[in-house]
Amino acid sequence: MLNPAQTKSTASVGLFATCLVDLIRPNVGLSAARLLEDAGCTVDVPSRQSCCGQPAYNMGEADGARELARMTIQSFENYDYVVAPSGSCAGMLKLHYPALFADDPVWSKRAQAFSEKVFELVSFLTDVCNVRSVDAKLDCRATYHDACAGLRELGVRDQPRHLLASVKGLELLELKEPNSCCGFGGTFSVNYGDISNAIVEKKAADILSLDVDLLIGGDVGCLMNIEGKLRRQGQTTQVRHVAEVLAGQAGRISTRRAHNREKPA
Amino acid sequence: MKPLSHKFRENAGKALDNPTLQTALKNVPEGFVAKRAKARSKLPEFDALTEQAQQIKSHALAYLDLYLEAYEKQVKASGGHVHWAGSGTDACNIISGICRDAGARLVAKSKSMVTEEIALNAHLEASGFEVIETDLGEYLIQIRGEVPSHIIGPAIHLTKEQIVDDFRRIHVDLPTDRVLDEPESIVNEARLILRDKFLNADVGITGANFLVAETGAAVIVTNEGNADLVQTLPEVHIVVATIEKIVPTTEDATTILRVLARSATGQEISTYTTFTSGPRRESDPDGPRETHVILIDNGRTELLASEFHEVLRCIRCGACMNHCPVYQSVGGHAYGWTYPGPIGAVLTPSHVGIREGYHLPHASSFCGACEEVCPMGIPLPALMRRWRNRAYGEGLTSLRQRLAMKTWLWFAKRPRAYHFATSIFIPVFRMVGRRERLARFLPLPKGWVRHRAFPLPEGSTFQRQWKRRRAGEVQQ
Amino acid sequence: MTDHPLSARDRILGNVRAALKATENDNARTFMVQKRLKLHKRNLIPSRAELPMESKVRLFQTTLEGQSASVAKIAAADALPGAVAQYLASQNLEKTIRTGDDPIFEGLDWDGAMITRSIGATAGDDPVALSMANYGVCETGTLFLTSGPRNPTSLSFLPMTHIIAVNERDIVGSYEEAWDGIRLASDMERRGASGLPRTVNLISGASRTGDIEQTIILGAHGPKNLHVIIIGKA
Repeated sequence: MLNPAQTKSTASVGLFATCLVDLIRPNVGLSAARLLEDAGCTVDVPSRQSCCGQPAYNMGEADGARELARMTIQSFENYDYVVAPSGSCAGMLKLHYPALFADDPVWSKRAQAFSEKVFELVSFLTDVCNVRSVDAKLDCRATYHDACAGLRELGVRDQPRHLLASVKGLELLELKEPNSCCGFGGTFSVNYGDISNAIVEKKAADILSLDVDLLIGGDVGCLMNIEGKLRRQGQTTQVRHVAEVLAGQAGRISTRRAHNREKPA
Repeated sequence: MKPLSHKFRENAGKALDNPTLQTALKNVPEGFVAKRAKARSKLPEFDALTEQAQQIKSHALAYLDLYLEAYEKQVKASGGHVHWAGSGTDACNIISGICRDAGARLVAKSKSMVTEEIALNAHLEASGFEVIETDLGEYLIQIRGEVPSHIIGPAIHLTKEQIVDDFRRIHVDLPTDRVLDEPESIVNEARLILRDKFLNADVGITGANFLVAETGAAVIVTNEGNADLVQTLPEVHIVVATIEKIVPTTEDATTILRVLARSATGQEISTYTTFTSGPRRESDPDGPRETHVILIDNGRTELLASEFHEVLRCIRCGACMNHCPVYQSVGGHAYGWTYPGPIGAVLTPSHVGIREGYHLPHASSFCGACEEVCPMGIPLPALMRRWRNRAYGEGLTSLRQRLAMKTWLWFAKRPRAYHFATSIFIPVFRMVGRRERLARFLPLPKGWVRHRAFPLPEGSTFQRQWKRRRAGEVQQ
Repeated sequence: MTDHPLSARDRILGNVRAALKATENDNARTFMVQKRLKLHKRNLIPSRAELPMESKVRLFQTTLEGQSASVAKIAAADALPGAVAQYLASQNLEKTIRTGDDPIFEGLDWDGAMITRSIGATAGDDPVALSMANYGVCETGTLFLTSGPRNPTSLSFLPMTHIIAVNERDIVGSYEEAWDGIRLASDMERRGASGLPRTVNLISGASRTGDIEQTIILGAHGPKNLHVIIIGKA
């Protein structure tokens, strides 16, 4: 398969793995790298990266966020593109870094130039690399949760659905409210745990009402939150990042439900 | 109104545990949210109109002094009186003075959030006037001794059953066999009771959705028609409005009206929209003999000078709270002051201080739904974040949170230390994740583990796995 | 001599100017504002209002019907008493109406339709009122009524049943067209410094409330029944 990105000289991509992927779901990072390579990019993961600074930024610790922003910009500004498997972190890099340096003429320019290179993974694959389909297979019934930052800050909505439609065996159903918040919100989920819980309970109920085997999403934070709720409720619905599904790295999804449905009582 | 915003956490908890409230709150997404989406999809120009509406308000604010002067001139020319009030207290005193001069006994009001903000009812009652709220929702909460929980649906936190009980409790002269179990019978009953009040009121008080500088008109929007009775029947009509309600022209008001009802209730237009200026004219067979407009600052000029000035574009449609997952979960009373939801999270700290209002801009997942639906394009999450910056700068953020953040930042800024630390912590977290009973021995965030399983890390970090993969490639 | 304390007005306007970093006598700003007020230019108008006359009337009617109003059409003003009588009979209402002194109502055969008509504002004891709208706006099924002896404002809100007649030729696409017409009429009659009558009422259906569990109930305070009669030829 020849992609436009391959026809030019190969694009260099700095993969911003995000701290949650690094710590909790490394498979998402590996899947993202594979997808980018399949799309014809040269992928690099600079070791001088950690957190995008969003937790500090949202807590009001703007100075701390700026220090991390400077580090991230320095590590990544020489790549053609900066890609993150998270709408939330990509939004931070793309939209909030320039805002952080609004009063700093030198860094403001650098943040702006950096911002133009930043993309969320799936929209980068479709909108920049012109990927139209993937070579993956996953037999199950699934649904997709639109993580808020990707959806509202970066306009990621149709792109994952288009690519997921090319995954063989995957039946994708829509939630009643695919674009309502799961209640994660970073430190919000800890500082206002009870309210966050009320919100994720609604999300879990929406997912369970579809009777799917798998929930797919584009942000590990939200997925962790929803999965945590489902596990605590004793539910078996599986949870995967969209990169894992598209890269054929989702592992085996238990389709016990589906088999049960087909079996006569 | 005495703020209770510092008790947000406590009151939100109570709200979550209140099954009646939770039942009532289900009507928010099923009603307002669904209806707005439909109204928006029916009007192809909706988004373009919101952009124009924003430009109109931004323009009006940029020339606010001149439009206020133009407005004042027109009101006076049509025979109305204009009063200026720097604070809520000043406004209350002016209004009670007008009532006193009119020899008033009974004051009828239509729904007005600014009168809630300045606690006008309490002031008028203390001054010896009988005050009656005529909007059905406002009337319902007035007889319960409550404040509105929503800026356009003040009684949205109540169920039908609660309302019936209150009616029976207050109107003891009602025959006991009077059927009151359907909304329709309650509305009919309220119509009868309030009709008498309208006809006997000496002063009518309304708010204003807009003040039109071009004509001196106050624009008032309702579905019940109560504001029109309030501003037509009593001898004296008082419009109470804050200074940012000014729009330049009738055409400008018209454009904003096109997005107001659609954003609020999902109607294409509210049932009654009224442009009115000055007292009845020589040949008019009805209308008030005397009209007053109270132009209130109460913090608006400070907002205008601040980094929160964009909030002054707000037209009080309520879309932000209707779409807010936090509001949908805890309702409006938990916010502890006049304005709930995202708009309240930005406005309240400016009125009551960030110490009192600390929780409001913090209790948000920053999902952005409010900004997305705001017809006036107010960047609510960004403005909430500015309050968080101030709170952090003033040292209001808890020591525990600050320490946790400082520690995180210390490592995050030092990738080597970070990667080393994670290589130690990850196995511990894996162990804990597998055996949840062990979790209680670790300093895990309670707000998380009380409701959710702790995430189980897969194995070594992505960075390590990536390095191993790269090393393997090189060897090959 | 004591210092003259600033009035609340001067303080507020001063604070506004300080916030805007503006000065009191800035000719450029004043000119900008004067121009905008004088021109009162139209903003974007939804295209749904741009229709041929026949479609406008149809849209006006269907939209109003969707807003809990009933609509009837008559060929000419002569038929108004009959149409009113017919509606009142269909609602089991007494044939007594209150109206303003609009000349269009004069010379119509109310007696022939067995209707008792009285003229003036209402104090709340008139069950049915009949008004004449200045304009009907098809974009949202909205009637524009202006205050004055022809059309007492109380008639639109106190009676349980409100009948509004509107000339078909006065059915326009957008609010802006109605405003232009009202401004023009006001200028001719020199009504008020603002160039507008004291009150302009935009009415778009029967009175309603959604305050009880968002269930829509009609007749909250204003009329429970709104009946609109479109007059083909005045």
